Amino acid sequence: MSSESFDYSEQYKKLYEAWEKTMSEAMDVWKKNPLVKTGVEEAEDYDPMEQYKKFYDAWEKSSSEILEKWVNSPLFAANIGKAVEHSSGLKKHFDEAVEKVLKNMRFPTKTDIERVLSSINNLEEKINDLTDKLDDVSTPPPAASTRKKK
Amino acid sequence: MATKSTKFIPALDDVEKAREKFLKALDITLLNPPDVEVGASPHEVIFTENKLRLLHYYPQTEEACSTPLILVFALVNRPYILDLMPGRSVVEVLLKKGIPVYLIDWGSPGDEDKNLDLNHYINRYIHKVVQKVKKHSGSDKVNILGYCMGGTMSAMYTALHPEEVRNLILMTAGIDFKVEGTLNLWGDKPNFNVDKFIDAYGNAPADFLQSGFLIMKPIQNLVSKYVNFYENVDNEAFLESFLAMEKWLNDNIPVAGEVYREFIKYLYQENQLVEDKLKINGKPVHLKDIKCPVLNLIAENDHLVPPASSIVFNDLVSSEDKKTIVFPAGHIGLSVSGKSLKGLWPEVSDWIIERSN
Repeated sequence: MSSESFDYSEQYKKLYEAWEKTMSEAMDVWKKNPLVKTGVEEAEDYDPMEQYKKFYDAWEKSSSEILEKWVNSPLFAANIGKAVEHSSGLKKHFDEAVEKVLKNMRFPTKTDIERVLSSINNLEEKINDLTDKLDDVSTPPPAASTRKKK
Repeated sequence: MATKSTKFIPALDDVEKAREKFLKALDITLLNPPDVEVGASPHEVIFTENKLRLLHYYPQTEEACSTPLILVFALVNRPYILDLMPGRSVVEVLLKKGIPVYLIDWGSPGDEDKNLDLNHYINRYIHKVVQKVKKHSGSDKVNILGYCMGGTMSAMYTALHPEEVRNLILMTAGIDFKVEGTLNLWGDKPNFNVDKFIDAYGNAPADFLQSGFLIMKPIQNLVSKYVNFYENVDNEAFLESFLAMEKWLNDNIPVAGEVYREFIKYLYQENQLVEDKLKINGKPVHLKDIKCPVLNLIAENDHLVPPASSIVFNDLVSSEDKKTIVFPAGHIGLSVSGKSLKGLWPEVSDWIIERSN
């Protein structure tokens, strides 16, 4: 969905309504707690652990629904995208500053080390290719494995 | 004064038990986490290049098929999810059925690997692995099973090198990226400036990817899972399985920058594979060039790769022998749940064996 056609205030409203509805459901479970209404002496069959579990289950269900709806909304996607973009800008700026300082001090930078390691990887690939070619020349194909076969 | 409440006081007594249970859970998860052995099926490493390792599993029975199977895992997370622990291992099921199994462990890319692109992964790494496996097994072709992102890359490889692949099996592979889905929304063009991100970070950081997966289902991943763990902390079998899964879930690796950029741009944002516009190293990738037998495995409750994203694959290839299985599991459950290992993988193994000799 494009951000241009997206109605942010409508989306906030929908999320708020969903959150309000689901939290009301969880609170309804809590309100059935006899302690809330009548006090301990009237609560013959009251099991606080069971009551808490019911409340937790209702909370878990409602919160999952609302949060999953939230992270699946174009509003969330647009905002998280913006946050990532800003942090990327900051990181790039910081890395460039560090790189400049190290260069001026005649120290090897991260880029220099990456270049060396990358060259080693390229050499490894070439050695592997050469080894394969030598194997092909020196051994008749196919070099079947020693596995048992039916 | 005697109270009429019969459950209230005993419940207070339970507080002490709950406290002990909590301390045990805390000890296991944070203070003294036990060492968990994963990926334990006996194997040898038969090829390495850069961080890549090619694993060959020792056969556990007489081999029922002459064509070896290569498992191509995603570039995100580690491949040992396919061999998590004894009794929870796709590799184990395949070996017991007599299928020769090889697995690509991509390793963890370093900053120096940020320029590795789709071309390198497909035309260098996968192609090299295929040649190595052919040589090692003595077979003229291979079977390929690609999981998630590995499935998408396996489809690309098979389209580019159809002569190398006898059978292709895709497992929760993203193909159509314009269907409704959280990652499709987050990765879409207006929301995610992938160029700026990769230009700054080099590789896609492991923490970034892991945070994304966690917040897709925040309550389930950050609350419910640990409540469930607390409730089952005295159950040894549950504990063993939980700790192995936790180890895998938190054993995150970065994704090489260029391949990540291309995956997001070409697939999530431009859907080039489905629109038949994708080119790798200048060569067009036409899914219709895939003519070998195809088995498409889809997880019905997949929240990472929506079933609709995978299901189109069989309509886009030219294969005459093609099958889709939609199994009631999640993205990870397809490889580790008891239900999948008993109900799905023996069927997959039989499908492979029937078409491999």
